[in-house]
Amino acid sequence: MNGSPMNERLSNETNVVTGQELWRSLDEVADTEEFRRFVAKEFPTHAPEALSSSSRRNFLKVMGASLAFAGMGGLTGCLRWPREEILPFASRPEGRLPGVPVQFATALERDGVAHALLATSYDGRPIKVDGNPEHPQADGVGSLDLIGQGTVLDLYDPARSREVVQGSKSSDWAAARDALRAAAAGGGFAVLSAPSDSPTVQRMKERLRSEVSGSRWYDYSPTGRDNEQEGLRLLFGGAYRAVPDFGAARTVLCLDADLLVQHPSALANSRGFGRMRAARRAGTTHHRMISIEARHSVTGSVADERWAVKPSEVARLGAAILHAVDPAGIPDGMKSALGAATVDSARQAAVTRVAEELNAQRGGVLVLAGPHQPPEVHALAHAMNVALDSAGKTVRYVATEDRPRSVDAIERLAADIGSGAVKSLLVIGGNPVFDAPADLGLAAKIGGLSASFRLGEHQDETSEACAWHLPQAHYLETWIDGRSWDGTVTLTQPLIDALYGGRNAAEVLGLLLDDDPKSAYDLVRDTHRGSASGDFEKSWRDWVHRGFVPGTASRAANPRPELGWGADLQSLYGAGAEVEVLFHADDTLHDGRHANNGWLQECPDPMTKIAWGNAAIIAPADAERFGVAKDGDLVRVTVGAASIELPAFRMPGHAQGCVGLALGYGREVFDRVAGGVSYNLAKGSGVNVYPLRSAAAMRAASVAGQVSRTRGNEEIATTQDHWAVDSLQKNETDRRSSNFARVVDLDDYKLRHGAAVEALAGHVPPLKSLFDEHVYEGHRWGMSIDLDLCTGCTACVVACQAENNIAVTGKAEVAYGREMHWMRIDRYFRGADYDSPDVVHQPMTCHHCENAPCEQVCPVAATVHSAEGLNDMVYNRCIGTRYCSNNCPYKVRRFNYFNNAKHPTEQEQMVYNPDVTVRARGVMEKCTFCVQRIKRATIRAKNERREIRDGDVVTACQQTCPTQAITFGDLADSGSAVSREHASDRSYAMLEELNVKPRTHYLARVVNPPREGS
Amino acid sequence: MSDTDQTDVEQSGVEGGDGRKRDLIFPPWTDHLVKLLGMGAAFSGVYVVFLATFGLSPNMYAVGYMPEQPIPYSHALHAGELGMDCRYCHNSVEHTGYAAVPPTQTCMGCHNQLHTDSPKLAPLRESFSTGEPIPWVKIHDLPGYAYFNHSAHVTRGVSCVSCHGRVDRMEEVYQVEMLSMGWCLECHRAPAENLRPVSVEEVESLIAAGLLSDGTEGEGGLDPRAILDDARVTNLGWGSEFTRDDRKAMGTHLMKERGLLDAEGIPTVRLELLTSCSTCHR
Repeated sequence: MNGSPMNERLSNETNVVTGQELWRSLDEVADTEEFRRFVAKEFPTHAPEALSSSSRRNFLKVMGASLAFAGMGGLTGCLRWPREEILPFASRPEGRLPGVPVQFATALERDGVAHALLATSYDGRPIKVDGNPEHPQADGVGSLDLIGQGTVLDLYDPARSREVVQGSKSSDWAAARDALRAAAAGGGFAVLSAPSDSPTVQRMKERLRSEVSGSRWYDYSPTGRDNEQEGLRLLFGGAYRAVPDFGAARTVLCLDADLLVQHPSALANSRGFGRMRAARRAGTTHHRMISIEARHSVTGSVADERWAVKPSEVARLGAAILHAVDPAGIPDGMKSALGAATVDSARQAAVTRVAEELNAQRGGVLVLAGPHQPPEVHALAHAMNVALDSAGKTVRYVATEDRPRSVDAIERLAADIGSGAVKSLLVIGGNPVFDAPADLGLAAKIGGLSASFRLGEHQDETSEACAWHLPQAHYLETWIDGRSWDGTVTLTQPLIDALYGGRNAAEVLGLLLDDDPKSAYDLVRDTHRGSASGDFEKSWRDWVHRGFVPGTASRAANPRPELGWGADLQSLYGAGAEVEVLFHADDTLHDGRHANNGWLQECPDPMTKIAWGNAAIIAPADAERFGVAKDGDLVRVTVGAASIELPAFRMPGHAQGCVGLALGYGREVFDRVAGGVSYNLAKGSGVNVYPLRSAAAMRAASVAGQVSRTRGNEEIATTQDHWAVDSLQKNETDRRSSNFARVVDLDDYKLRHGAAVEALAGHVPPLKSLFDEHVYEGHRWGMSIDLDLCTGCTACVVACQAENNIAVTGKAEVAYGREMHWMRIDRYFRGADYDSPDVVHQPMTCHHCENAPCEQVCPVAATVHSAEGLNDMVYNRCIGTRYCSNNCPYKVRRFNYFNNAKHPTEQEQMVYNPDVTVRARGVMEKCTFCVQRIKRATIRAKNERREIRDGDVVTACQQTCPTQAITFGDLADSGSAVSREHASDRSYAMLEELNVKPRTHYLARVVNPPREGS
Repeated sequence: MSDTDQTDVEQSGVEGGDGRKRDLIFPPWTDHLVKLLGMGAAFSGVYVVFLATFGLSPNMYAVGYMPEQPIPYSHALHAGELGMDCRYCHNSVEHTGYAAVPPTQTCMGCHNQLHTDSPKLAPLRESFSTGEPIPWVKIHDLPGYAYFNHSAHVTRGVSCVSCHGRVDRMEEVYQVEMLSMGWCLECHRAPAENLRPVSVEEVESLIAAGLLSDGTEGEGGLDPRAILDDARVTNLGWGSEFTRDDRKAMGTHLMKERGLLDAEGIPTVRLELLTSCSTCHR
């Protein structure tokens, strides 16, 4: 289609983007060769990697296929399937029924903060985790972020460590225990731990302090929120944490903060954000979100106003805003420091406008800063909350454990090892050798210790530096407790026995401290024995059932602010470096701990859409300066004496003069090799940027660096141009794109309601079908996706992958456009400003068209409608013509080019959802509307002799959506939630002019950009 | 030499096209054999199709499959003679997809008293003492992509016997039906013959329609609850007194009651849904 002379002519015209048009990438705007390849060649035909790749895994895949064909020769093999055995329990546990998934409350801890979960166990195998809706912070919604969704796969990672290792010899726990106790008795014993708020770990830590004389404890995480804690110490003079309440915040000001993804209570924040958005549409409240940030984050993408500035400028801009707010009762020193924050005249108007808005929303203002911003900026943010009467309303300050800042702790540890004060070390969790400041030389220092132990899930970089490696239990294998961000004590219960005999931090400390070591279960119970009112056993059962201890949320403290840090703040106003390097936690791998997780590696970054790697993220305006002609051009980023080479990626909306580097990629060490097959997925995906991150870099918002172009180009596996909806050739599509993901202005919407959305529909001819149209009786399953609530966080994509056994294809395949995700989020940029465009996220799955174009072209009836109008995909009939995908206007069908699930290891099989068929090579697949969940709910309803109720069927994407943007249900029931959504004045069907009658409708996004002169 | 050749040809040869006689390796009657072989070859294609069609049918390799079980458990004794209900052991059948094979514990409920020394029950006692499962061999084995749900069938009045046959008469269990997709679809298209009433209301409705007798002529009659109990899905012998047409009429009535057919007997979406792909494949 693209090769036609007509298209030639069209594409030679200048592309003029005039404000409403949506575009996916700079390549699309420039109409480059790469972009055209993806639009024109939905199915890249040649697959050189199938032949040339020398990896044993691929070799086995290819061989496996031929062997399977060889096996067809012996007919005996296919007469009966292999003899199977039924192995019933000798004694079946009470309430356990085979084949019935059971949910258990548990929790996972990340950077010292627990997240309450509901884990689904299928015949004893945990296969899915979701949020615990009963948790006080959950508001009855079981949502979970994308990383949390992925953690269940970590449990079955074939590369996990399986035994105690001393040096390179396998050993056992008894020997390790003797060595640990000897080391502790020898003096100078220290623990370096990933931060944990677990009451049990803290109890063991206290015991260690008192029982092992001279012992020391250091907490280190490369991505924690300890700068905020330091900032609150500056402001309030004590150890506090800030618990935001988004649902009460009418104006949110984010100072380089991604509050909807990279915040310990991001899920609660997202729910509050969703509620406020709904209230604002209804006209019952004011709500605006303003983001001042360097990296184009998820939060920035849904903010109503976004300023792209270098990280170092945030302090000055924040101070200028507070100065313009002109609060009363500020000491002179601080006042003059704020007054010293000058901004250029272009910004001044905006600063004044924001300050006016903040003043107007007094009592409903929430200001928070990002984790990499220095403590003074955090202090400033919270000083604003105090000054605007919002402290205690939109944000609660609660007392917390007084922990030194990670960077200070790790520096002190390095110094203490150097001075000989620390002679032996136990490293619990984390991976400090990989992620500690590079200038400390931690690996060598640990290597020089008389004894070093490592408790970790993988034999990783830190294990290599330590003399002993001890396998750590995954959170689904062990008993432990924790605290959520609001302070609620959570309980983690195991869903499976430890696969490799791993133990958790509390247990290992118990091995060290107790003559008669207790199990993790007893340790946790001992911690909480005192906190039960009445019968402990009864309370304990209740707590375990709920997954948390009710009523343990921290009480709000009402600390008095002290504003004596003006001079420190003022010192941050400097112009900043010409090129600043910003290090940030990755949205998918976090700090690198999930680097061997296929789901998370394959999950595209919510904003850049890069999978399987990181890149030097630069502003499009900086590309020329750095000599970057196209994405993937290699650049050398230098900070001080260290430098790394990595591909560059131009991200619209990224701050000029700033290079964004995501942490956690380029992990080399996952050395478990089984049967000659390496299970290192992390290798070759991305570049390790930690070598650039010195202790100084951890303290400042960003560091000065240089970027220089080197030779060559490396392909970046970004999905931003994949599956482009191309309804009528590119330019026509561009012209009409505004009706794909519709965006209306809040004022316009309040004035005209549905007509404002209607106006974007474009030309819709009378919808007459050439065929007799089917009339659907019975249930009409349908979906509604609210673009005003979708933040693009991508949790749904991973949830869908976990629920539906979706294959991981790898970097090369993703780069080819062959990722298998049934759900994708189209991230459209909007507007003519390439440096700071608006963004609209549009989740895209099979629309289950009632008049489905895919069905009309399938020669073998492999995709047909069910009586209820579901677009069924019949894998066994599919012969792989791919006509259906060609004919799908929404581009939601995925073809299995390889036998992605061939030869899974014993562990990899365990994560499969038995309710969903694992697809083989050569068949098409796509979203089923979670038909297995529909069937489970309908069968249960019929067994109970009742009609199915609204809300009985919850799809995986809907369940996990943090803002509850997705609604699913029966359109035939006019009272159902989804029917109400479809009836909304914002509801529209994408590409309705094709008369495909999609069952999925979207609700238009409503934006509230800054008004001129207001 | 040429003379000798000439003589040989004259004695045992036929005349060639050039007027000379050639050597014959096969006697003349073999010409017919060639024709026969040709016919055989032509027929062999048909034969292969025939062989594949019938030889690869589940009728040939699945029906009658009776593997040896670790314990020679007799359904004929337990379910037949002793009259134990199927659900005594397969207790999850009404609630879940699986008719769970009972845990060792269930067997030991009786067998810690009965036949405690029987050598045949040695694996049972061993399982009970070690906690290791008894490795029963699966007989009714559907492919992984077919999602059969027991509860969805038995709670709608499809008896065990419809798929498993008279297990209560089997000394050793074997497969009775093909369990092929075509076989499943036969019933999914027209389930009438395999349906039984599942509620008192349905029994009363069948009686009112004159399709089910309440046992006595005239006044009173059997309690519908007793009839319902008699017609329970685990009563494998129920309905043998009815003709096929009786069962069909009864089932058709039930299908109307349940909304699978409308009042005119035209299939509704509920019946159509039974043959939708996603009903069994996900």
